[in-house]
Amino acid sequence: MSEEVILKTTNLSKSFSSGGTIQHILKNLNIEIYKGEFLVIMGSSGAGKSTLLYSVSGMDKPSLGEVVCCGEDITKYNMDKLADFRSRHCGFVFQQINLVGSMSLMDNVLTLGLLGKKSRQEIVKRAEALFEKVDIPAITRAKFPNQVSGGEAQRSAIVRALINDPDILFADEPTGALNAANTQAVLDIFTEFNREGQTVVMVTHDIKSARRGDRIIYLDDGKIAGECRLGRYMSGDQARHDRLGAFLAEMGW
Amino acid sequence: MINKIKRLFILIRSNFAKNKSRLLVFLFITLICSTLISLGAELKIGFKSFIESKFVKYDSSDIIMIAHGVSDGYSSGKIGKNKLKRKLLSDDVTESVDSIEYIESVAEYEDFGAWEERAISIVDINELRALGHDRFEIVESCDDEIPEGDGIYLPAYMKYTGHNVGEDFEFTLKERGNDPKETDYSYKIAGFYEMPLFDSPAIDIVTMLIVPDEIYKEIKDDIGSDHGRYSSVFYITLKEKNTDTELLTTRFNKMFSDNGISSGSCSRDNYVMICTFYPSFTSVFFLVVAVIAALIMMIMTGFRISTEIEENLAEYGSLKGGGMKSTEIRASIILTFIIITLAAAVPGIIAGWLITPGVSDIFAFHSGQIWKPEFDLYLSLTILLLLLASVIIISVVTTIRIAVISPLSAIREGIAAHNFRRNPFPLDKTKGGLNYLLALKLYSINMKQNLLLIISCILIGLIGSVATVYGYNLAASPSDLIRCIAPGSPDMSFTMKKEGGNDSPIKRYLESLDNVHCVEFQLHRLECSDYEVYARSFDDIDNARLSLLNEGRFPKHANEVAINVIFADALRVGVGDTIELKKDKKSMEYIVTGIYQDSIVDKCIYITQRGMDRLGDFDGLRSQNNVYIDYESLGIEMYSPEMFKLSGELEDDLRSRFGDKIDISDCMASAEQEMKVEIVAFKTIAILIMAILGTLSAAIIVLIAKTVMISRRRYFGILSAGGFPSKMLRKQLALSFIPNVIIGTILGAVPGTIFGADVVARLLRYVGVAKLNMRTCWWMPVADVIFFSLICFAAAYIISSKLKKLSVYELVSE
Repeated sequence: MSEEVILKTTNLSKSFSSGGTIQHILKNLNIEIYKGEFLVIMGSSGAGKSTLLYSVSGMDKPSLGEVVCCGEDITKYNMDKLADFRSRHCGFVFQQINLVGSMSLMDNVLTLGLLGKKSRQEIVKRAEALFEKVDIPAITRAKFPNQVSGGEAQRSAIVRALINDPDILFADEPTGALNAANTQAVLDIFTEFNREGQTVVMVTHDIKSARRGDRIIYLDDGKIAGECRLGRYMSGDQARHDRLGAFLAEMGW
Repeated sequence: MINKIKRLFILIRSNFAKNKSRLLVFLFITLICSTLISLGAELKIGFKSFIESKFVKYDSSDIIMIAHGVSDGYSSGKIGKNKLKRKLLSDDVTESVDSIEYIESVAEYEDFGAWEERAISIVDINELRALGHDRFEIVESCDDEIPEGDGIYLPAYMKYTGHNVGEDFEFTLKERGNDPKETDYSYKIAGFYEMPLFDSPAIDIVTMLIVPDEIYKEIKDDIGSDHGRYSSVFYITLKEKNTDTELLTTRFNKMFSDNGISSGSCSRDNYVMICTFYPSFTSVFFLVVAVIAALIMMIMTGFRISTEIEENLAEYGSLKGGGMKSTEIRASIILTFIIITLAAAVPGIIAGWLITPGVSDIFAFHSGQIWKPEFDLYLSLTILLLLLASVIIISVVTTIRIAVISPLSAIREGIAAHNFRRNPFPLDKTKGGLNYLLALKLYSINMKQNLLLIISCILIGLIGSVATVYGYNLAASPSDLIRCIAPGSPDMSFTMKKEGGNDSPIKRYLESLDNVHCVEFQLHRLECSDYEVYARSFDDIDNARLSLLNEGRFPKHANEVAINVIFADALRVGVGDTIELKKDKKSMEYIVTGIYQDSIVDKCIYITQRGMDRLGDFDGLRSQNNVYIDYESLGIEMYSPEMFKLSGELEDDLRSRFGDKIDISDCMASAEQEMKVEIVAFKTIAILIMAILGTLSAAIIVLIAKTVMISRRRYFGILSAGGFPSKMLRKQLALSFIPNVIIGTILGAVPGTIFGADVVARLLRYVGVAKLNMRTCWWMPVADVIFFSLICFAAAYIISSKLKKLSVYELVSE
């Protein structure tokens, strides 16, 4: 993990209005995300974890404050410019997987891959390489999402997220809908890509998933309640796991 | 029971809340449909009733007979006015006859901003009133006081030709003869009058000015004793209203003619037919479009309801699981659509009634009628009940699924993903732009919407192409109208003046010109089965460019005739039948060899000269000559400006050489002049129909696009999350409809183009048109496809702007 800041927020706030009532979800957050790190965002239900994730990734517009990502202040962007920003810099993995059910796994990946400026051949080649890496054979790539297992679908979603070589991979509870075996497989993929230099920002409420992070940010009621640096993930590093446990206990998790 | 009603009310309210915008589009389509049906029905039924009611209102006569050159104390024929009146009265069918004298002349006055020469009649208002009946009504008069004796009354249709009450009406009366004396007059327009049988310019009765006694005397003094300029009109009321007035006018015209009196006539039936022609013609178009709109509305109803059920199946399942009966759920859906239909149909029907006068005003000039329709409650209720019944039937049938599905299946089906088996246009193997390929993919998964769109586009393409054929051929210019209906018309015709001598030098001169030839014919009035028929006899019928032949062939031999469509319909004869023609006391039989079309009123035949000779000796009868220029061999397109220029040059040439010997009539120019108003009417109909169809197709696309945006919102959210800008998504959505629009429109437009001419001909049948010489071109269905594709793309693109406002975060986290 380098010390280069790839994303920075200044007094980031997000509010929602519903039936005349305003709910303040994020309150004056100042966060820095470093290139190549694996950042995990945790917190209790309703703390604003997903809201934070989508506010910094250009998926949603903050109400107040500033978000500078990859040198661009995205808080001033309109919806189309944000879409363009996301296509160039961000990759997303969702809890609900969100593959397009009417397209094959390969087509789901190529739909976003062909948005960029690279040629079809290059994109197809990259997609095939990524599918190989996540252990999805060619015969499965031609199937539809409802014809494959949850793990295969989520791994395909990871390929889709990485097809354009994003600066940051954002994951919102990526293992929330998976069983233990698939969860392990997905987390291993995140770890592997992170080791190769991919910056990962993941929201989770699962401690096993949280262990994979270099740094943990704990949100409580829209504010940063605490931060914990764990260093690189090593399987079987008990001391590291204990530090995480203690930190979470301190946070009241 | 009260709880049931409350529950029902809650469900209905929920239906509206969930689908506000889509139900609004559905409401709009229903509104268009009901407006068109109401408009078409009013024009078809209401206008005719209005015209017929005028005869009751004004206690109008059933027939008018004009005796030219017959006045108090003078007659151009063998008997005078009083004796003519007695003869008319002596007919068994006549109840009463009134008559008045009037001034008949040729006058020049301004119409539509141009000075035109027309036949005119001037009637003393006191004479009209002295008849003792309410024969006319001043429908609009000047608010400012006009000095007595200074104001005249014009027929109401002249409001539409540039005249207003209080303004001056200037006209120049012209005498007949070689050196006609002209006298200028100017009077204030005191008002406009309405008078059945006299107030429509389409009837071949002269334009009538009703003037005060002082003005009548003034003009009479100026004219002096030129008896030829005084005529009489006889108002004939019949004993039985259902007497065949056409046969009767033939009999009366013959009686006048036998007594050497030139006559004109108009009957109630004739008047009603001519006045209602254009509104009827228009109403048929509107009703056809309305039927198409109604069909589309029914399809939309089914689509909306079945989409509603699909989107909310899990909800219905849980309601059923909770104990609610399927009849209640179905009732809530059916009632929702009944409410929408009522909410749209009632204002739509009222709107149709309100628009009707505006539409009929387009024809006001031609029919001469100012119609202010009264709201017809029975007609409106009938339309409303028909629409409601259709919606109820469709709703009941479409909601059967709710009754048959079990709660558990409903819940499962509602949350199950679709099972896709085919992956059309795989992105790694298919060449093409990404967005176009995704549009094709989107198109291929929306099967239900595809079917709906194709069926709708077939219907729209069908009627749109007929309107295109009709508009291109009939509404582009007067020349096009002439080409379609009467392509055999000559360029000009001439007759010799009394002192003009023989026509041989003129004919020799014409024949000496390249590509010009002259065909001589004589015009006769014959009788056939109590009908009066105009016969044209030709020496050289083979070289005459005759009217459009619908069936058979033109006569060649002495015992053959060709008859026009009007005559064929009246006699109920066809090719191969025999008819008996009478002239004076002689009658002969002839075989009908062909049926052609020309006049919309008169019964006409073509006969060879030798055929005419069988009926007597007609030496000394003045011949007429039709002059034809062979444009085809000159490479000049018919009815092009070049054609008119050449025709004009020939006419000028003839006038300069023989102007003192011949009277020339520019047939093309006359026809063009007479048909100016028809062109406006036809053009308006064509544009209206295309505008209505364009609006309908846009509304359909909006409804479908909204449905797709909602049902595929997750798809759009995922693509947007991945970086697709809203413009691309909007374009993708709009493009996904285009294949169906193209396919459906072609499937409708091709047969519509091929059969369009026949369809329009059928509409024009009762005015003697059996076949139309219409041009249909390959580009017509192409133009329709492009037109509707552009509208649909634009509508889908505009409505998909809502995609800009979709929160990607909300979509992907649903």
